[in-house]
Formats: sequence, structure tokens, C-alpha cells
Amino acid sequence: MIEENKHNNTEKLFHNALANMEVQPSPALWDKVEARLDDENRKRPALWIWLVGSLLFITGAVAIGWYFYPRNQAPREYFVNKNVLLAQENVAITNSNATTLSDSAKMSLQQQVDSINNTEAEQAKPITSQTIVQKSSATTTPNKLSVNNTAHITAVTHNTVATPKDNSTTYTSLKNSPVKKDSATHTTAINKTQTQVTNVASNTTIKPSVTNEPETHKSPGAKNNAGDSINQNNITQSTTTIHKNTSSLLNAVAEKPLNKDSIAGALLAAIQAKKNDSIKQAKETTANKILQQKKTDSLKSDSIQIAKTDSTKKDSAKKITAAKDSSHHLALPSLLSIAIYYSPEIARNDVTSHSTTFNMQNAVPNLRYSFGVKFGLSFGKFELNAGIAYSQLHQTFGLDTISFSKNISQPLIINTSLGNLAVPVGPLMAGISVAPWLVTVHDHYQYNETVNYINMPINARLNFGIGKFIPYVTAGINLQYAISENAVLDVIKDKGVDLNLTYSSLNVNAFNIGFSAGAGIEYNIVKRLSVYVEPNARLNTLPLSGNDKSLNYYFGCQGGIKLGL
Amino acid sequence: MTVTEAEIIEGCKAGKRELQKALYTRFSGKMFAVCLRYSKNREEAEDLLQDGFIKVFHSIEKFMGSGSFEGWIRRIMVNTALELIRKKKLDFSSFDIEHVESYSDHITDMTTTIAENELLAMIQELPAGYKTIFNLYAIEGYQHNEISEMLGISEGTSKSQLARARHILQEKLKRIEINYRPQVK
Repeated sequence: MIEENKHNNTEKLFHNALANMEVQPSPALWDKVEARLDDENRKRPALWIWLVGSLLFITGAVAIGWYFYPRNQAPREYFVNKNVLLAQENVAITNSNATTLSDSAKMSLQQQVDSINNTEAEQAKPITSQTIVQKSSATTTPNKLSVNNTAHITAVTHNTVATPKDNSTTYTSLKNSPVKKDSATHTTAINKTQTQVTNVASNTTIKPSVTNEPETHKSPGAKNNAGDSINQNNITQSTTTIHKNTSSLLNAVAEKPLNKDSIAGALLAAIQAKKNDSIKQAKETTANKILQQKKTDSLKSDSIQIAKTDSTKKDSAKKITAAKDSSHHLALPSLLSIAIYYSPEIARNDVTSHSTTFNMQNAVPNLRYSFGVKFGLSFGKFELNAGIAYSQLHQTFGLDTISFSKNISQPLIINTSLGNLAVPVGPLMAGISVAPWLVTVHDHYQYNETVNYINMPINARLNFGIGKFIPYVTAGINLQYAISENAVLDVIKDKGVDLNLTYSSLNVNAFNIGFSAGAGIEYNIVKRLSVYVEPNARLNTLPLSGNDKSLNYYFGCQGGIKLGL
Repeated sequence: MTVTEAEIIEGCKAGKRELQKALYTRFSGKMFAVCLRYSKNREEAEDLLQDGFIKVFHSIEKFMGSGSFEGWIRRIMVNTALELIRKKKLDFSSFDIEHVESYSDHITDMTTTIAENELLAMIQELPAGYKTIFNLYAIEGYQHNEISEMLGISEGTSKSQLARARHILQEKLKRIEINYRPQVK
């Protein structure tokens, strides 16, 4: 009891003196602490900054892809058949013709009609469109001349002859007028006058605007070839014109004495001239009707062509349907897609060396897995993927045996890729009693290491073929950030307490960039829904940690479900 | 204007630098004394103090306010010291427990006239293993079973090393006491 009090006194003395003792450190120490805080803040930005940055990058990539995506393409039919696409384009053009004839199309049709007319005009004159045009222009010019002539004649005879009121009156008055019978010279004069009348009549034509010859002006021999309807206005105009012509004729004749026969002959000549004009008009009308008929025929031909194209359109539609049906569920890449995936991976062993005899038989490979979501953007057979994923690197060495001398003075050091894990001799030997004749002690240990990452994979993908199964190759980069790391070494002793050491301050490389490549196959379950499996490999540019000198590579197999948007 | 402990805690959780400095200013004296007890010299103690405060600032979000804030910081400092000891490959096995009983304790009347700095220097002069266990047991108040768990050693080892540390300190105190007695008289 006395001994215990002495012990307590010693400890009490130190406890009372030192438990609440204060000693001020050097003033510069805070600056060092602050500098370390700043360094660590710079070294590892907050996780939310990383996440937000990743999302912004993905959003930007998708937006850029969307902006530059060629929208005139028909991506869903891209893989079907180029011929089918061409057929669809023809159908589209035909549809536009069938619905509305543009001015240019009408012009084209007119040119076709004219071309046909010209050809036919060469074959069968005079009833051709070309002839009609020529005749039409020819009749226009003399018409002007006839007006001038009429004006001239009227000017000459204006004051000598009264203008008759109508043709019948004129004719009657002429027949009943006194005529000198014995005038041989007059006969010559009459002949001359008759010639003049004929000339005047030939030059005085009915206006070409009179397309429908009035029945009243037809000569007995004139045939109504066109069978057109009678236009009262035209008749009136024609009558007026004939009336004027007759007046001119009478005026011209009035200067010289005429007999009945000569006048009648002159009138007959005028009527014959008119008859010729009527025939001309009839031809003109007929030519117009032929032109119209040819236009109609051309339109009918176009209609037939449209009908034929309609048939082609139906055939094209059938082809498309057949193509779609035949492929059942083609790999029609959607513009945007989303995929969730899981990928187990295997890497090399992380425990690299040991300071004592070390049995590696129970070592298992470094296991790793990742799962995440990624977005895809299609450019025909190319696809750009970007995503975000969580991954964990985990390795376990199970119950390996450690053999060491009972007189060991150096700590046990296990070299791992995350750092050197040291176990002091004291804890290692604590509780162990070894018989004097034994020099070697056997313990067991189990080692676990875990590193948690967040990843941003960005890959390009090239598809091969179409159908339900789509083989593809892919390559890209992977941005990686270590969010936490942990290592636990558990020494299990045959006798004595177990030793469990946790190491949290490990020298893991927080940021890493890796290059990945893989080949896979995608299977379309239903439209826009597919699954895929993709063996791949990745090599990081930096080792796992500052203590690791070996290549940081992984082999994995990614499987996922993909949904087209 | 004094800042309350609650304000310091909330400010440090928010990462405010001025409140982190306030925490450092308030507790650096006591914590530096803790670090000195586990160290051989002042430089080593300052390194410990740096590491300890960095951990405090990183871990302060986990502090739920259920216990003493100062006690929580002190535990972090002690654990930081223990980690450093592990890294230095401290050998706890170099002590022969059979020799403990050969030392006797002649300290009967401990005075408080001995300066704190002298007592601190005595502890600092102890071998690392003894110093650690004496600090944990005598100053921090841990029991042997707790110490054995913390250091990964057996309770027997803890007890024997404590006995050795105590014996050395008593020897030193005895010498100092002799030196002090003439003055007291």
C-alpha cells in the first residue's frame, strides 16, 4: 500500500504540474500551419467542384455536338440502304410536282409543248403552233397597214361620198344607182377599180383578235371547222370593220363611174377576201385548239408520270418497310443515348516486397470495379461517349504467414503500392513467448487496401455493321480523382493480442489520366434499348501512388444497358 | 470582443481562416505542452503541433459537441504523437521487466516547488517508450488496457514500462529534492 502511494505521489506530482501546463510555441508556427492548410486546399479541391466541373464538361460536349450535328441527314435511315434513301428523295420531288406546279415547272412544260409543236410543224404544215405564231404576227402587221390605208382612202374620198348606214343599204343603193352603159373606158376604169378593190380588200383584214368568225360573215363555202361559240362583240366589231372597208371601197370607186357588174364583182372580191380571212381565223382557232389539246395531253402525260411516280413512291415505301421488317430491329443509332454500366477489373498485385521471409501464395490479384452512367452522341457510325463513374480499387491479401526471428530488432515493413507499412517490433512481439530452443516465430497477417475514385471517361466509338448485333471498337481517356484511401494491416498472432493497424495518410496520386481502348458488341433488345459487353484495357499515365513505380494498368469487362433518347 | 467556443467550432467547420487562427491561439499553448511531453525537444514538438492542428481542422466536422472540445483536441494531439512514434519504429521490447523490482522509490514528500519546466524536461529525457507510456498513464489518465490497445502491446508491457519510467523519474526527483532541501531549510 505504501509502495502504491509512493507511485501515486510521483504520478500525481507530474500530473498536477503538467496536465494543464501551457507553453507558447514560436510565433511563426501559425504561418506554417496556415501554409499547409492552403497547400492542401489547392491540392484537393472540394468534391463538389470536381462534380460540377465534370457535369459542365459533359453538358458542353453534348451541346457542341448538338450544335454541329448535320440536321439535314436522316440518321435513322442512314444504315438502311442508300438506294432507299434516293427513292425517298425522288418521291419527295414527285410529290412537290404533283401538288403545285411552280412557274419554272410550267415554263418547262410550255417549252416541252413548244418543242413538240415545232416538231409536228415540220411534219405537218400549215397547222402547227409555229405556223400559227408566224401567221399571227403576219396578220398583225397588215392590220396596222390596213388602218392606215383606210384612213388614207377615207381622207381622199371624205367629202365626195356619203357613208352608207349599213351594208345592205349600200349594196342596194349601188345596184340601183344609175350607171353609164356606154363607157368602154369605164370598163377599163372599172377593172382598175376592181383591182384596187381587190388590193384594198386583201390589205383590209379582220382584226386577229376576232378568233371566232361570226356566222353572219361566213361565206357559203366556209366551214365551221372549230365549232366555236359565237361572240356577239366580235361580230359587232367585224361588222363595223367590214362596214368601214365597204365604205372605203365605195369611196374609192365613187371617183369613177361604175356599172353594177363591176361593183358586184368588187363586192364579191371583197367577200372572197373576207372569206379567206375567215378561213385564216378558223385555222388559227384550230391551231389554238391543237395547242391547248397538246398542253392538255402534256399535262395528261405528266399526270401519268406522276401516277407512275406515285407507284414508285409506294414501291419505295414498301422497300423501306420491307428493309425495316427484314432487319427486325436495326441498330438505328439515336442522336443521344444514356447508358449505365458496371465493370469489374483486374490489376497487378500491389504488395511488392517484404523485409522478412514472406509467403505470397495466398495473394490474390488487385480487384477493382466501377459503375457509372455515360451519355452518348451519335454521328452516323461514330459515337462520342462521356460519363461519370464511381470506382473502387480493392485488394486483399488473406492470411499470409510471416516468419521472423524472435530476436528481431528491426520493424516489419510491408511495401505496398500505397506506401510502406511498418510494424514496430514491440507490438509485433508483444504477448509472444517462444520456447528457448525455437528461434523463429510465425505470425499471420491480412492486408486490405481500398481507394475510392470518381472517374470521367470520354471515349469515341466506331460501329461496324448493322443488325441486332453491332460490333464496335472504342478508345478514349479517363480522368480520375481519388476521393479517399485506406489501408489496414491486421497481424494475427498465434499467441498474444492481434495487431490491427490502420493507415489513412497514404501517398496516393489524387489526379490521374488514363488511356483506354476496348472492343465490344451491342445487342438490340427492342427499338432504342440495347445491352452491350465490352472487354477493355486502361493504362494510367501516373502510378497508383508516389511509392509505386510499376505501370498502373487494368483489364476489365464493361457491361451496360443503353437507352436511346 | 471574445469569440465563443461554439463560434470557433462553427467557423472552423465553415473553413473560415480567422476562426481557425482563433482556435489555434486559444489552444496552442496547452497543446504545445502536450506535444513537448511526447517529444525530445522543441522542434520535434512543433512538428507534432503542426500535424495535430492540421488534423483538428480536417476532422472538426466530426466533432459533435458531446464532450469537452479541449479534451477532443488533446486526444488528437496525443494520437498524432503516437503515430509519429510508430513511424519512428519505437521498440517497446528493449525493456527487461525483471529488473523493475530492483529500483526503489524513495520519494516520500513531493513538493510543488519544482518548476514545471524541470518536470517537463525530466519527461522529455526519458526513453521514448517509457515517456509515452508514462504520459498516457500518469498525465492523460489512460489505463493499462487502453494503452495496450493504443500501442498494440500487452498490458504487462505497459505496466513494466510505466514502472521503469517512474523509477527513472523518482531518481531524478530525488536528486533535485536533495538540491532543493538546503534551500528549504
